[in-house]
Amino acid sequence: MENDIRLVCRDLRAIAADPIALQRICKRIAKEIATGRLAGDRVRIAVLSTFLVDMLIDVLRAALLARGVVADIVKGAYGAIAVDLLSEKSITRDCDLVIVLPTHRDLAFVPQPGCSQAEDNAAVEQEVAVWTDLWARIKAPIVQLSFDPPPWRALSEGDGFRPGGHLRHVRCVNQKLGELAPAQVALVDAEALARTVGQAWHDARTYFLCKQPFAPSAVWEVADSIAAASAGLLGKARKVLVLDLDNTLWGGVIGDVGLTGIVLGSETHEGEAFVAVQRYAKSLAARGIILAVCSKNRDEIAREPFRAHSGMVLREGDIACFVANFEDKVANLRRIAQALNVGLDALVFVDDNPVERAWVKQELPEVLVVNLPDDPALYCQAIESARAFPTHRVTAEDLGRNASYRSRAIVAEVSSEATDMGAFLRGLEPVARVERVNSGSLERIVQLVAKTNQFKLNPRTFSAEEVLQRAQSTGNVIAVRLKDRLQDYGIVTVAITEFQGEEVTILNWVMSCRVFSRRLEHATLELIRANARAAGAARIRATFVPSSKNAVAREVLTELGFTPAGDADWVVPTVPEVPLESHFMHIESGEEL
Amino acid sequence: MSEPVTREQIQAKLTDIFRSIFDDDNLVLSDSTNADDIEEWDSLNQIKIILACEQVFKVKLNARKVNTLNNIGEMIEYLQDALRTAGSA
Repeated sequence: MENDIRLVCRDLRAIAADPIALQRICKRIAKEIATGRLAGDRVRIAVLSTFLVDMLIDVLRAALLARGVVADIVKGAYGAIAVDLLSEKSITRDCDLVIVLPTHRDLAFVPQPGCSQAEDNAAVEQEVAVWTDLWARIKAPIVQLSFDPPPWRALSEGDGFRPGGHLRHVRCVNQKLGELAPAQVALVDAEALARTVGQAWHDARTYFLCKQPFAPSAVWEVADSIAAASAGLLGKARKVLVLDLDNTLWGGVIGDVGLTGIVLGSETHEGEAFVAVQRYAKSLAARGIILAVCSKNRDEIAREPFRAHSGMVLREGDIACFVANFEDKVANLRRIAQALNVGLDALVFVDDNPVERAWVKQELPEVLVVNLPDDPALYCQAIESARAFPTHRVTAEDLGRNASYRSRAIVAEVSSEATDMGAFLRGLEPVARVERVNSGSLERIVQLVAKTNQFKLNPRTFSAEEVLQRAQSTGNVIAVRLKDRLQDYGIVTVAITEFQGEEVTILNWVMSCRVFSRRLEHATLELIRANARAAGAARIRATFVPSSKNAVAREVLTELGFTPAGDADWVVPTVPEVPLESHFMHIESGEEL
Repeated sequence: MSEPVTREQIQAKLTDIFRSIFDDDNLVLSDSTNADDIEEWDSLNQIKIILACEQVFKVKLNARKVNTLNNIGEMIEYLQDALRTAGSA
């Protein structure tokens, strides 16, 4: 039953156009969640809105479940976003995530036609201040729908551009909110959503009937886009786009038709469509999505176009993990996940062959399989509409990620051959650089703690303010950047500690999966020990709370010599009883800015 | 010119709608069924019923009029009227 429910909610898009069937299935899913039997990360979510969200919430729950989030949803009083947030008893207080859904009707300072530029700008400032003030009151991460374009344009074509235009006000406010949104606020672009939904976005009859502004047929798109943004904030965005080659990245089977026979390039309409798919993949790679190839081909033949075809947009260097052989794709997808050191639930699989898709769906339910249509002209749209890669801001680490994972895959290959692990690690010439907590590193530190799933001691996260405040006591926030001969991995491990009498407590400790097996944890513990010694603490205490994903953290604690000390507590003496294996790292300190 | 829709056909489709909305495959409608007979038939579900009828029968309904209907029998008559008007338009 449980697996049925999960598979059903993956394919809800197929029945999105039939609101009656959609609601029935979503109601069943809601009942199943209410039994408490579904495994997965249970998340408490508050929905605050100024319109009727009952129909939306049923579908939202299913769309979240499709992304691995088992949601318990509470809703605020209808139309009372600010009132709820200002109340001492706000329903958002115990929530892991708050979803805020206003519409253009909630704009309080819409300027009048004929007002001056200055008056118009002032109205935007006033409007924005309302929301930034409310955000500051919520501790949990926030997903907020931006303001939607109003249905009528009093200033006609000038409404979106001229001072006093309603649409211009909406656009300026959204833009400003986007600029000012702190890291824990993800805005859903209502203008883009309204475009996707089309005519059904503004449905006056439904609104007057029950205060739901869009038609029942729009509920799926709205729910799914909010679910995707929520999944992104909860660290559930997928990370890897796995691409087939023949008839996916180019037309034809290269093993049969050869390099000159494949259809690719602006000479033919089909060739153009495949170029567009490659451009789209490249644009995703440019913002941090990892690309992998999984193809049934001989390796050297599969690589030929990447090296020698003028129509190719993707180069070998864009692919972090290239797997071309005649083995089962299920085995190959497992191999790709392993080489990149990500879970199967980080993969999105794109393949034109329906048999391969069905096989992967059946064998690897964690992998998101894109339902690719027959016409390559529609491939990009199909991948995009899966909303698999939500992000609301791009960090420097995102931009360098493909290079980073590429060398991670190289390291995986190299290390499977190297028999002397020590010699191998030393050969990489690693440098661990302790970074200062400042405006340059703060966002990455907060993001790393929030988004890490595997090496993470417990669910505790820290706001930017809290990290800054804790960093004021020397050594309490340890953020380490790893560099080696191959590249700079950025800040990849963060430990937040606190001195308490005889002990140093590690409140939480995370490490990016890209740098597992590099003994960076040895170097980090060494840093914590140095601080503990300086503070005169005899022991180091850590809180480990098991989740469905962090088994590796327990293994590492054990390896490092920590022993369980009741409840979730693990301890290790400041002076090690047995020295740890050498990490071969040169330790550096970050400079003052 | 399509055949006029019979009471029985409307009742069958209406039963499907009710079974979906109340997620109950054993639900049976009779002419005298009303909101007191189905526990979950609240104002939100009333709206869902109206919206679902509009989708299934491809007609626009007058919500105020629907809210004055006393039972399923009257609902069927109202839908029959609406379909006749839509057909002749």
